[in-house]
Amino acid sequence: MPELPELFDILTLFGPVPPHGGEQGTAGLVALLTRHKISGAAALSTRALYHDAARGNRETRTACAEVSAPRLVPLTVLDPGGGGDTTGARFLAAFPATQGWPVRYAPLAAALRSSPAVPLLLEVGRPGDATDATALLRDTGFAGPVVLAGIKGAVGLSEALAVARDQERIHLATDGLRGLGEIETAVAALGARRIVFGSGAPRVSLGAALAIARQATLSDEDRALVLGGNARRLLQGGTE
Amino acid sequence: MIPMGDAAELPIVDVHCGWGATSFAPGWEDAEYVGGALRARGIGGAFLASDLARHFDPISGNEQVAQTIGEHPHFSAWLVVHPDRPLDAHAQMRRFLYGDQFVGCALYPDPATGRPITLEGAHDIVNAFRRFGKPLLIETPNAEAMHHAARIAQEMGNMRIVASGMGGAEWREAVDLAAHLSNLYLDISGALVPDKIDYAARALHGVRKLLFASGAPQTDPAAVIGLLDDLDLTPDDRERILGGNAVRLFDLDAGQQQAEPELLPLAEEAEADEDTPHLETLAPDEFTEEE
Repeated sequence: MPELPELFDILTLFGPVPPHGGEQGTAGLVALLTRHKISGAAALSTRALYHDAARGNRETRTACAEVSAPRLVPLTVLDPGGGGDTTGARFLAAFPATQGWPVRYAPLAAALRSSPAVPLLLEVGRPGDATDATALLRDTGFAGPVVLAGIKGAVGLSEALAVARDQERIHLATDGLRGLGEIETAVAALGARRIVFGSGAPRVSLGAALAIARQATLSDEDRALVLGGNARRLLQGGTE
Repeated sequence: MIPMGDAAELPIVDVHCGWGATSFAPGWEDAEYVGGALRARGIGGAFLASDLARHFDPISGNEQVAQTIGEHPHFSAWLVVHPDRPLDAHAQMRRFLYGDQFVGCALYPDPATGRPITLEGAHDIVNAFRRFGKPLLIETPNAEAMHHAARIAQEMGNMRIVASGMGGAEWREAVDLAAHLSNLYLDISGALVPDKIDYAARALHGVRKLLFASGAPQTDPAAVIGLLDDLDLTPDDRERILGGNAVRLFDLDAGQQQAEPELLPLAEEAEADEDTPHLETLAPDEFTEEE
């Protein structure tokens, strides 16, 4: 029987979601990760995403430090308004679609130019976002590895694959991939080392995201990379 | 519907599963492939809806599905109808809906504009359909579509209506609307958000109006099943959502052919038009409201 891979979720959130609210703190997220036997996750406070990046990022760092298991890696949200401090950040994130600004956006470009070359998770939820992401990365000279997230449907996946095919540092997160054959197609096109499991939980179902990845027709070795190995390698500094 | 192969004991019924290949699921027009994929996910039966019929050519699409389910009787299907093509729809209704394998008619937003199905636009075709006594599926990807589906449910009081997609991201409104109409059911495809199941179970006083559906191949059926894994459902409630409610709503009996549809005599159709939804006329005994 193959050894179960150690699972890592590249995108999770904690805190209330406007306008419906929700509980403060990481308890709910930790319970959910524990329920699904996820041993680690990159996490961010919803305050950083929906309201105030500076305060939210501080909240993220503090909350993640207080949790020992599962291991939470703080995701630092880039603030195009200039309020975010990326000093000491291990993992950056930008959410243009959720926050309502374009990917090719001068304030984001400025933030990236002054950011360390750590991994960057970039939401590409709208048609054209992934294409714009390549221009953004080229223009800013940002040197870190990149994880494209929020890829939706056949249109989104086709665009992301076209963008990533010739750029080894670009990875695809699975959080938006919900269709049959999508993960398999991404693995076939880019190789399993560039596909990273993510859920967007608890805003989106962790159980659903896991079920899709587990049902995908992959070798045990490839599945282990997708479900955890790649995220660990990225966050430990490897970009190969 | 007859459960598929080795999955005869499995209770999961996918009440809305697409039929048609995509670039990422090229095998999704091969009955053996689709059956195998569903079985691998523990799904014992599925109601197919032609992607070709839905997006381009309803006549040819329905014909293809009819041929498929004729050769593979473990599948059932929805007859996809377009309000703008009533003559074609009526002809296919008469041809296919008297049999057992088509479980009802399915209506989708306009494939060109995305405009939702409305009572005004679909009145004639829905009225013609009601004599077959079978459920009607209306895709509801957002709250606007759900409001229109609710109006249709209210107008067609004795017709069981399945709102597919549960209003998408606007699932709260979908649930609230379903709470007020006893003949309006929700399939849980759409947004992969576990909160919507909890919310629905509270607002609807139980899960009896929730039906498992995948919308495959655009969504992996495993995802919708996995959605339930985030929740603390009782085994009974989980079984009801995944299959028990469908067995009752569609008069299915595992391993048996579906019961003959109850055809309303034409003379009663006009009277039925006057109906408003109320439990006595809308639901069989097993669907009486929970206290």
